[in-house]
Amino acid sequence: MEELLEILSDLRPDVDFENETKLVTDGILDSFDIISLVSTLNDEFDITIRPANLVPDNFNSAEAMLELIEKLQDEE
Amino acid sequence: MALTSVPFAIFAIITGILYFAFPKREYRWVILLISGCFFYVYNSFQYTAFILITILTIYLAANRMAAITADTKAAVKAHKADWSKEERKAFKEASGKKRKRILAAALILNFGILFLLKYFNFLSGSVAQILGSDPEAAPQIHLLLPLGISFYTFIATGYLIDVYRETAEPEKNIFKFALFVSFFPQIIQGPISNYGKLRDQLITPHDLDWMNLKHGIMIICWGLFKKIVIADRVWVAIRAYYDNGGIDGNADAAGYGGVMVVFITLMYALQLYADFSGGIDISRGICRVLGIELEMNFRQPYFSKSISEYWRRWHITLGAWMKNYVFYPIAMSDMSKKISGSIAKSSFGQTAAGKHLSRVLTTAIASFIVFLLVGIWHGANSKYIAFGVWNGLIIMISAMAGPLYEKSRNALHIRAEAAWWKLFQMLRTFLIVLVGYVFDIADNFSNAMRMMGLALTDHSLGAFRSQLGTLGLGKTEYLSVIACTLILLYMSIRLEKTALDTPADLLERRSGVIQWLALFALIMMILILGTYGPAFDPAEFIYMQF
Repeated sequence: MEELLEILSDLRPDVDFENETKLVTDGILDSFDIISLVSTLNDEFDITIRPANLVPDNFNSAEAMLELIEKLQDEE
Repeated sequence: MALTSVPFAIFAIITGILYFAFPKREYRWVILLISGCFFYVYNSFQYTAFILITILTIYLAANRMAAITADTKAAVKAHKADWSKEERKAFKEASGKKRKRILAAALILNFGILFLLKYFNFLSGSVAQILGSDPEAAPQIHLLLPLGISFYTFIATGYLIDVYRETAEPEKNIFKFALFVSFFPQIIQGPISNYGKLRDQLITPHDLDWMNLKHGIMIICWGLFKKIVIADRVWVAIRAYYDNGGIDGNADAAGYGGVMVVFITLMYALQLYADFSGGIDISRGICRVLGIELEMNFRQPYFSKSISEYWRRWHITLGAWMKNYVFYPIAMSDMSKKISGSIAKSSFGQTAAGKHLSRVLTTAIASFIVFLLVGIWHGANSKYIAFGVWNGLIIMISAMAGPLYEKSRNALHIRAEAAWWKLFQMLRTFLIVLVGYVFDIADNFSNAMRMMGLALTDHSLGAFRSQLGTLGLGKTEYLSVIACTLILLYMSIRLEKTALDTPADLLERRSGVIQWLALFALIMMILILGTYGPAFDPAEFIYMQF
């Protein structure tokens, strides 16, 4: 979680990632942010996030992202 | 049968009565299917085959893909003990390829039909022109467009891609799937519904609910107000401008100057928004009465502070479709990764600008492609391509120049939160949108450039004032348009501030008396100030022809 939060605050220092739960639904992260986040996550966690994973539910909070990362790590 | 016509109103009311009166609740969706079929055949009888082909092919492709997925999972499970990791992987890959082939075939077929009907004539003419022969003599397909083809093709293919990605379960019942594709309130001009959000709502039986009925009627009336009272009236002026030669090269005959170009572009912005969003309101209102919530398609788009925000608030469902099924796949493709990676590794990639560029360049290119497609989606004409390129370029440049922009704002000590700065951003965005609209208004690219040239160079107010009378509207009509636009503006500001969806939600906070008075006033305005009668040639909803 620590590592993820660090990546997130590098990407957007202005956002409170620990408490936000509607990052995508409320438009806090736009599609440019998502794409650059995905490529960092892919590299750092050695996973492959696909377009199919880009549903709001997977990116609305740091917690949800962590769940997705763990799920994809299990699948590898 | 236009959305604002009496036959359509009768049709919608009969559908509602049959729906709620149907005794077998679990089969109420069949009423919606039958009414959708009736509506389609009534309006577009000779082209019914096209929508049937789409329903059938997408239905079969989705179920075939799902069957392969299920078989693969079963086989992997059965051979858990005796397959090596490599064998398992190879098997999965082989079945993945099969699914991909089915997806590709269904997409090529369905977009192929859309492409042939919508773009063949344009392309054939252009090719002839490039080859130096007469474009008029080039082979042409003489067909009108099947009703709603751009909408239902996107609705159906979006579902198919969701099934391919395993984010949606395939629909087993072909009649239920046919209802999803042909649902009558959305086939006319969208929204481009997402299967996951709409499917269960269509199938679940709903009972007549007083609140839904009241809100639904309010939303319908609000849509009618935007459409009949504002859009259709303003359309008269835009038509007169067209007919008097304002959009073609014959500017001298019309004598319209630069101020008129600006005025007509503003009128067009008003007309397009009132017409399209009003039509969506009518569709959403009908659905609300039926207990079905259609997706929002507009959220006060002219209050956007950037072009990318504008496209998240205008025709929202088209933007979402493009993002999910075009933008993400391109931006996340191996090709994009390679380009970003090679920039990052180069010596340029070590600089701040290089780092930024390696992060956004491919994303910016992907969004440019999306807007090119959005432009082409609007129609087969060079001006729509220019419209897409214009929007795409702005978004691409603003993404790439983002840090530079922030830097200069900081250097000038402008607070991003300052109210005047936000207002400036809104006006700037609106101006960019207006430039895009000039491409829409003009009959082709070169005349759009001519009109913009006029707007920049010719500012004679005197001529403009004397020409206002040539637009087919009298003084009272202008006043009515201004007053109603102010009402629309007030409501939009209220919705923006409260973050509510519809004027019905706003009114819900008021007392019952105010609610009824507002509804009464709205109906009176529609009856008295609406544009009716044989003298008026009712413009079809602009988006109905797409």
